[in-house]
Order: sequence, then structure tokens, then C-alpha cells
Amino acid sequence: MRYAKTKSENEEGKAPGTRHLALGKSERGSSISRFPAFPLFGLAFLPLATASAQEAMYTAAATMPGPGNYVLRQQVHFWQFGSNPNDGSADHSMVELHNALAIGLDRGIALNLAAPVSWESKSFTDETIEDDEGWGFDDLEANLKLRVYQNDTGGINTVRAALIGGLKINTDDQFYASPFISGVITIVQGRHGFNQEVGFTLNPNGLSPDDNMGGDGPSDAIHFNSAYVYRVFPEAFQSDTAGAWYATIEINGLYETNGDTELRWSPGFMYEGRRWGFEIMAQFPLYQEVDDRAELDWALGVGWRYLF
Amino acid sequence: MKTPTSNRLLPRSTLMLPTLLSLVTITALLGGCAASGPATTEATPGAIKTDMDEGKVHTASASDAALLKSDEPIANNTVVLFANGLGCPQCASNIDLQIKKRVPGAQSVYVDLAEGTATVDIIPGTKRRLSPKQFEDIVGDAGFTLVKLTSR
Repeated sequence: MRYAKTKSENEEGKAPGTRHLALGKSERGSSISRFPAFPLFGLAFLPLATASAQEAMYTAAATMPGPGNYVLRQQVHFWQFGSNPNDGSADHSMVELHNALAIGLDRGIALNLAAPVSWESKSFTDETIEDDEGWGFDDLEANLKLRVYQNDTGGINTVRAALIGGLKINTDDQFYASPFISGVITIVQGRHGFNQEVGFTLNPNGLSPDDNMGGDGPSDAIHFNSAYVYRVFPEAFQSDTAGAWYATIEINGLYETNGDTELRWSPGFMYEGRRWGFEIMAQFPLYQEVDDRAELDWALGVGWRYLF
Repeated sequence: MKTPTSNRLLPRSTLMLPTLLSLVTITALLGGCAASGPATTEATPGAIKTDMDEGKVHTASASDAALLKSDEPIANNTVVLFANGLGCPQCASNIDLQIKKRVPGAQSVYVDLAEGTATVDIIPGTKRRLSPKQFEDIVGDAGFTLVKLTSR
């Protein structure tokens, strides 16, 4: 079950008889009460949130745990969206607890699993429409990361590339899955790290436009994320270095085949110890040309990870 | 109806910013890669080091490379692994976990990021001993490149 509660549910268990919601739930299969639809938002901007080393929050890295090792990663994301032309909402907030586990299967192969949980709230400018809120389980995600290139050019320096392919599995009443594939390159050169990722998501049965938060469908989507990771401290690794602080900046882009295009920038900080890491990152729109969904106002993410 | 420019926050020229950022970063990093070149030796005396040249670049002589192919078990109780690609603290744990799981009698593993080494202490008297080739497999599985190995 994904949808647990809608504050303004009426006696029939449906959201109030607003124009949008009446159409949404019963006829278009979409409304706030179809809350589980939101997970695919993560497809666009959190495609591989099963972290390994040197990985910023929204951009994958070509790193992974070794065989028989695991990385548990939990993140809390808050997104604040503006008005949505599709459902008439004026304001839309969403919080997601993203639970992910990376499992090292073999040399250069890792399985990534994710099961997010979300809460959201919508308000409408039309006073006849009650505000709405609810929580639910998001789509499940499973993918394989395969390292296809590795060149360790120095004690610290490395160049790696990986392919990632997987499925987002809808947990709503109607079963469907959206396959995706992406490629990522990671370069670490002294204090500087760079990750570049480009991916494509096929949404053969994607969400209705009402629930699309970016990359969810019904259009297919291309995402492109760049992350620059700079080690602030220590300036140079010492023999007893147990952890390092990094400043990160990401450019997160999304193009949907309906023409909607979005570019965000995401400054943040990350601490990486030998076994665990901590990260915090904000996200702001840099460029938005979206006509079929709500615009992002701002976002904040906090997370931790543990290698075992 | 689409209004292509209605939601635009910034002019199209803004797209130049991330593009330039990416290009500058890639250029800098590739420049650094080229500067470091293939595995040479440790820092050249007198050479100007930048923050892209941090860490030791381990190199292997012909005999070091031949040793890594050996199936002969290592009898000594301390094995020092010289690896390239140990770029972060969590990388260190990846190699540490693999060694502890797979090296019989491993009582401690010390990963030195500054030196790019992992030192494995094996309990004296441990009967099953691994060969250099097996150590190379372990380091490779952890995601790094074992360049040479010494024992004492």
C-alpha cells in the first residue's frame, strides 16, 4: 500500500469533489490520492541514490562496494514546488525518505535497491478546493551497476566508467515498470573529483501529467548530471586520515520528450569517513522551461551512508 | 497550450554557465591526468607538485610484476600491498573489508591513504597462506590496482 491518508477525504474515501481530483482519481487514474505516483520523480534526479565513495547526492559515481560488501544509504529530501498547471494547485511540498542499499556482487558489479517513502501536501488557490496531504510508499527501484573501465593512474588518482541499467517498479494498483539506462564517468585527481552521468528513461506506462514531478512520464526522459567534488579538508591525506570533508556542486538536467526542460544547481557538503558518510545539499532551479508540470522553487537534502 | 518562454527563469545564455563549468573541470582534470601520465615513479625531485598530484604513484619493476603472478604462498606474517586508486577514505574501507574477509589469519589491516598502502598482519602460525596472485585478486575485487607487494 502506498496511499495512507488524505486529510480531506470524503465519506466515499475519495478526495473532495474538486474538478481536478474528481477527474483525477476516478477517470484519469491520477490525483493526490494516487500518491505513490511520485516516486518516479526520483528517477530523474535521484537515479542511483545507492551511494558509494566520492558520490554527491544527485549524481551517480562509477564507484561501488566490493563483493560481499554493502552500502546502506538513507536520505531525506524536501522539495517545494510552485503552481501546477495540470491540477490547479498553487503550492506543493513533498518530503521523501529514500532508503537504498548497494550490494557488491562481484568485481565491478553491484546491485542497487531502493524503497522510498514520501509525504506530500498541496494547496489550491481556488478556495472551494480543500488543501490535501498524504503519505505513501514510492516506486521500488532495482538496478545493476557494471564497471566497464578502470584506470588507476596514481595512488589516489583514478578514471572509471560504469553502466547502470534497471527498473522503477510502480507500487500503485496498476503494475508497470519504467526501464532506464545510464552511463557515468568518475575522475579523481588529487583533491578534485568529477562525475558525469547521462541516462535515458523509457516511460511506456508513465504517470499522468498531474503527478509528474519531472521524468515520471508520460513522456520519456533524458537526465544529465554533473558533479564536482572538491576535498576541502584535509589538504593532503595523511597516514592517520580517517575522514575527509568535501564541497560539492552539481548541475542536474532533465529533458522530457514533451519538450519540458529543466536545469538545477545543487551546492552542498559531504563528509566521508572510512565506514560512514554524511551529506547535505540544497537545490535551486537554474533554468526551467516546463509547461506540463509544477516548477521547483527549492529543495534540501540530508543523508548518511554506511559501508559494511 | 504551450507557452515556451513563460516559465523561463533565466535567459538561454545561462545555459552557458553549466556548460562552461563542465568544460573547465574536464579540461583541468584531463590536464592533470596527462600530467601524471602512466605509472612512472614517485614524485620527481624538484618537480612542482599541484593538488592534482597528491599521493604516491606506485610503480612496479619487472620483478615486482612477476611476483604478483606467483602462486607461491607468502610465509611472512606482514604483507604490504602497494595499490593505486585509493582516492578516498571509504575506498580504504573497501580494501580493508575485503582483506579481513578473505585473508586467513588476518588480525589487523592498516590502510595508509598518504602512502597508498595496506599493511596486513597475519597471526603467526596460520597454516593457510595466500599467494601474491591471490592478494592481487583481493585488491582488484575491492576496486583498486595492486602494483607491488612486499612481505617481512
